Amino acid sequence: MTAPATPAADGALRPLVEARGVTRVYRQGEIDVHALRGVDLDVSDGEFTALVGPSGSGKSTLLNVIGALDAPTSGAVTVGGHRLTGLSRTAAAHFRLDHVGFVFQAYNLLPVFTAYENAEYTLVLQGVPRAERRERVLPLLERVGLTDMMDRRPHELSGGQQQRVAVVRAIASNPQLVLADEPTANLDSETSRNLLDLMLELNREAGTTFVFASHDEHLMERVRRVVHLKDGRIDHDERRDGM
Amino acid sequence: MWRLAWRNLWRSRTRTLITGSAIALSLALQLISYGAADAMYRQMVSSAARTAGGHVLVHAKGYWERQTSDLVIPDAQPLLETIRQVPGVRVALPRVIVNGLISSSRDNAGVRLTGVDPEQERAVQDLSRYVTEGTFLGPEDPRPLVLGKRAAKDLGLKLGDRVVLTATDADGEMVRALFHLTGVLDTGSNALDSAAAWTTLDAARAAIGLDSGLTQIGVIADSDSARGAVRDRIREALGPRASDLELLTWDEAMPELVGFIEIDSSMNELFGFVIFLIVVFGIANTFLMAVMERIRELGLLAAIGLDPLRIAGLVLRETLLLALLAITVGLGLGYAGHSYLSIVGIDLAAFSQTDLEVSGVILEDMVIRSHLDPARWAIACVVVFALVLLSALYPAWRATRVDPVVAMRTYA
Repeated sequence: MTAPATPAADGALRPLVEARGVTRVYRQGEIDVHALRGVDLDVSDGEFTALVGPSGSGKSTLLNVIGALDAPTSGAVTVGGHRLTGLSRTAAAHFRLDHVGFVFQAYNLLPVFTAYENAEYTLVLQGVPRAERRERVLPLLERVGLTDMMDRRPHELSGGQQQRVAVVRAIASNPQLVLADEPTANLDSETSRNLLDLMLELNREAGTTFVFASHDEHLMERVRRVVHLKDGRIDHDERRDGM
Repeated sequence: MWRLAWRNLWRSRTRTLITGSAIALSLALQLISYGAADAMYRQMVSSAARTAGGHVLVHAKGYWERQTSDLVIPDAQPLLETIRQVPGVRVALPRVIVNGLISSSRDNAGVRLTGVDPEQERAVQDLSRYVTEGTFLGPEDPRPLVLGKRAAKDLGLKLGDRVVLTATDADGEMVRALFHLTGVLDTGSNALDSAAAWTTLDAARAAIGLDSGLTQIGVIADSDSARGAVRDRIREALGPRASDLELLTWDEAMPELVGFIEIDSSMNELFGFVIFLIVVFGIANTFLMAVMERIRELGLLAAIGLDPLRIAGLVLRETLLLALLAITVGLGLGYAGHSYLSIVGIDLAAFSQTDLEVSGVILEDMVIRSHLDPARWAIACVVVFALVLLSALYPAWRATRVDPVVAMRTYA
């Protein structure tokens, strides 16, 4: 189970993710690119949420800011009670290691490690003992149907298999939050559906919060909330109760 | 992290093997050159002690600087006996040394005449093996003289010819003494062959009117490295008489050879260091390439939570493993080279028509083998290790600067 939402001083539950007035400006040559223009966003524990929008809308940037991969130019971001603004690179790395799991578009596995070694790597970095790592990772690999593949290296796995390893790596450390940026972009339809079903099951069973940045229609069929971004702002926020 | 570092090392097997080979071969060549140089220095030191007259030289105070016949050790026999009893002394040799002029019917020449006991002197060096004509101080003549071949030739002398020595005696008076040429040497040293002469101890004493005195007592110690300690023990054993004497080790008497060895050794070190520095620049470039090729992967590692210090640590671990592997191979190759040279050696005679002479010291054995100095080899390995790690500092720093978002987006 993920950690519950952080109680506020008055006892009310606070959202897992709180973003207030977040802007992000990039310098591209001589031009300033305003990727985010004052975004306010709350994400609660256990959500299965997608950020959608056309290219350049800022969805990936918002995802990166929430995950402490990128720092906002202005505004405040809090995740699980941890204030992310003003973090050093080392502190941001430690935050990501301890609190966030990532699933990227390209599978981003370490080519010299086996599937098992890739899946357990965040636990290795956290200093979890070997026996405990096996206890946590093996059931997850079995869950995603990769027990027979765990000694294979990434180049010996299909795209879908690699992405499943990436999902196991992302959740093996029981993070508060899993951020997935276009996780199905390089997969065929059936593989995409299977992968998304897996993540939905993990969300329902373990309460892991998932936030996606994606165009995938298969994902839209499964999420309970869709945040529409346009030109760096939240255009509208669509909740789908009952899904 | 070590597992990741080790496997990363072998991602490009060819590059790792080439880089490792460069380190290993550079180290091996340097160690082999150390072995050959150290062996040559040891031979020089050994020869130097013989050329100087012993590991420790005992004279009247001021003799080594002035080299005059009036500076003698009077009543030397008790001193000789005392010195022979000192621990660490293998042999103590009596000598009378006269600097003078020898004359033939044709010409004159300045010489340094050394009066020795030929049997005892054989403990230091056996000059009889350099004899090309006659004998080395045989018993047949009471006033024998042995000259170098160059001096004999310049003076137009043949065996049996009379030779007159003109010198100052122990009282500073001019004296003349008659000798017969009984032997000619070819030592290969220009200094010895043109300006050195030998006679018996008794004949030398008679020439300058010296009764029981000596010019020099040459001490051969059990080992060269103990020469300082032996000198100190001799001084202590001689008691009050030591205050009238000077006791020099051979390196104090021949500082020019010591200087040569130090300079040559330093040049060798410098040369090796420069070679390594060149190798290091090449390695640094290779490491940097290896980092730049993995920008995306480093970005991923940063994204999943590897902080900058640990990323740098990953690069340095890869370097450390490569360094350890290469140094081990280099040591093995160096040792193999040393072992080969220890047995076969390098014959310098193949490169030179004459014997090798350095600062007046002849290398009697022209075959240079190898000597392993563990401390020197260990220092070389440590220096190589440090230089290789140094070469990885910039690539490691560069790896820490990777922005994970940019890396994963740009380097797909």
